[in-house]
Amino acid sequence: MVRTALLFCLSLLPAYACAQAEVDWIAYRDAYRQMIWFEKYGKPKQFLQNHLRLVPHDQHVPLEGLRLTLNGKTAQVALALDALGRAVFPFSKAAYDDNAELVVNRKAGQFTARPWVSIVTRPDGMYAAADLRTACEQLLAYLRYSGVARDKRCAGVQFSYPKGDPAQLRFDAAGGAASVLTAKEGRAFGGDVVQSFRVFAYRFASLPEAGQVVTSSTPLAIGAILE
Amino acid sequence: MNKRLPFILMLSVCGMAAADDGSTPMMPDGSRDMYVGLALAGRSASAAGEQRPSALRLLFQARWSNGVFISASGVAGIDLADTAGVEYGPLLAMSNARTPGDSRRLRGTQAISGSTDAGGFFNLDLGNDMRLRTSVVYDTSAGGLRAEAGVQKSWSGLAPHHTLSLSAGVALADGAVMRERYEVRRDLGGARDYRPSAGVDGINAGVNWNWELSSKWLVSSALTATRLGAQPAASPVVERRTLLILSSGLAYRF
Repeated sequence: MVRTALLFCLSLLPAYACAQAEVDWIAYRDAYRQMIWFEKYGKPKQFLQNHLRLVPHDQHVPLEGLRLTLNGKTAQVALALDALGRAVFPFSKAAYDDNAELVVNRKAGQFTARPWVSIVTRPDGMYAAADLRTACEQLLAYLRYSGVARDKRCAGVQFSYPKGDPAQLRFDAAGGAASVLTAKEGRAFGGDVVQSFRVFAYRFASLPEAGQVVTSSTPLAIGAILE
Repeated sequence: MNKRLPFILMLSVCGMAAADDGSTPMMPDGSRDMYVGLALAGRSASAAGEQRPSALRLLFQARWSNGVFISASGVAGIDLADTAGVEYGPLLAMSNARTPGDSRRLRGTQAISGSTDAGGFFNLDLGNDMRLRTSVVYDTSAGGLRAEAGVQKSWSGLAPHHTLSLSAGVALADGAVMRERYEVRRDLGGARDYRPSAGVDGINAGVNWNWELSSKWLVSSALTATRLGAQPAASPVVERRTLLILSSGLAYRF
């Protein structure tokens, strides 16, 4: 019993040290276990991508300077984060076997790390309407498989750019008529706390079924509009 | 059977809130996930004449990438599922030995030889951090079936590195298992004849709190309440119908 108490006290030291150092951590094995769901998913997913995302709890917590590092026994690897806090997850047997930690240079409780599925962007900036509908359905099907969004349906997709970005989007109908998509300030993904992105919503119902969305530059992210 | 609840709950939470409690496909080929530690455990009253367990218990649970899992609480199995969110496969569970001489209350009962029982399990992720777990085991010493089903809901967002789970379940047993545990015969020295039949062995509810100190150290605490079914409760061997088990321990993740 004394030994247990002693071990317990010793074990508190790293947690205490972490609180002082203003860093937070995620067990690599736990992250791996969450991220592997997408890899194991057997249904169509060619329009989807999965990231490990650091989702801020508060819109006043800046993403600037945020760093995510994989700390293994022998190596430290900095994982690149995009403007939405997303990183490509490194699937690594060595990191798993080391029981590595993913370290965030922020106090505990400011971010939640979770798998984040979105629609892949295209280098040519041209998105066939049919592909975007399929992409939205694929994303919805994946979320349902993960146990969320069971009562939702696809209403459209949304292209997100940084605040002040000059990007323009238009919808070219198959018949030749072009409509300009209007930007508004909003969230990159439903449920986010940060609302300062320049977002273009493409609602399936408000435009002809056949056509394509033409973007002037690559968006930060394409998300599904689920209602 | 009751005694294995707390640690099983613990690991299903470690598995990770949104995901599941692990298996073949959920880790790299050839890897394993193992917890070893010690826990202090206490219970409110002995159930069906079982002896009070020692205060200090070994915590051990391991899982390999080929799906094999084993725990110090006497459960081993293989997860054969290939999709995330579902687990099923064969299961081995140890059951406790007991002799009529163990306690005054057990006079007139039959001896139970500790046995290794075989069966299967099926667990399903229900979404929203909820899961269903079921198992059916053939009790080789009793020559009958026992089954368990339960649901568990977890919350990991309440505080960083803390996970809280609530669970509820039911355990069923057929006539042979019931009689092995709860039958009393006057001709064997019992106070009166009592012969139960198949039914509810007990219902249980639990709360589990996990605190990850780092990616390696974990403090896991659990409180489980079990209320015996009507037939076990009516047996002369049972002193109290409700049993509380409290445990708290520290484990290292290898």
